[in-house]
Amino acid sequence: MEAREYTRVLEPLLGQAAAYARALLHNKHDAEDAVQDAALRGWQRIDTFDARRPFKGWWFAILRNRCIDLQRRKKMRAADRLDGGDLPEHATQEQPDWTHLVWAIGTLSEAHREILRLRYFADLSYAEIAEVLTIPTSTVGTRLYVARKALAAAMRKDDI
Amino acid sequence: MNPFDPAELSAYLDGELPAERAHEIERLLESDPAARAEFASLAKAHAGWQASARTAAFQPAVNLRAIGAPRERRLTTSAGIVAFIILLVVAQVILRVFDALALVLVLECIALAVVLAGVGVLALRWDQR
Repeated sequence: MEAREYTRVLEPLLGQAAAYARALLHNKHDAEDAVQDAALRGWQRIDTFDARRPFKGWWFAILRNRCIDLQRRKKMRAADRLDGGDLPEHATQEQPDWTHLVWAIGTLSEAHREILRLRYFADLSYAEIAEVLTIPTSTVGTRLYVARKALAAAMRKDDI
Repeated sequence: MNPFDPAELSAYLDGELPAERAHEIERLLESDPAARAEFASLAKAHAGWQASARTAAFQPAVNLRAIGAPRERRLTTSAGIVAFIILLVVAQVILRVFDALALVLVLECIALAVVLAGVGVLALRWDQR
């Protein structure tokens, strides 16, 4: 894949990538850094991309790893608030909608959190999610169903 | 119809079922009030979550021009180095063939090549800033 083709395919994904990174890192600036790093790193590793598999899944796996690296560097747990971050300590009715959702997702298990973030913030298909998490597509469907039930229960519990 | 798995409602909602199975689920939803109620609840929650997640999206300030450019710049720098080496080799040949005047001319050419290469490198670094 040539550089021009890579940027042509990547550019339409940047908005969703930013949303996903923001849901993971809870910080707009960190999300932007993660997306920039992943864009460059993806190009550096373009030889590892198998054209028979979905590009979006391959590239979001790189972005996810970059976000995890940044999380480790900041020594941040998923449910914690960062100084200057976007996520409040407690959910209230006044915050932007996405912070409600991230807060509720943060109360679930890591497996459920991840699959919900990939489905709703990254807007990935089942095949793309399977690529990112290296699990079978059938497992994506089952896990997503259970995660949705858990999320609905968590939101009912907090009356959001 | 094959036995119904509740997780298939979730996959049907996402448009991830094969066409034939999707049609079976549609028939189930038409005939089974409990399945229909569960699907309606799931669909409503899904729509709300989808709308919420979209508010997180923003267009990041990502520089895509850097992708691929370093390889082109390395090519330019490599070409400059190769040209310089060729000049040195040519100078060596000329030194063995011609007199002092030619030697001075060759040295001036070499100096000019070095200055041009340096200017080129500085220009590239300035461009990268």
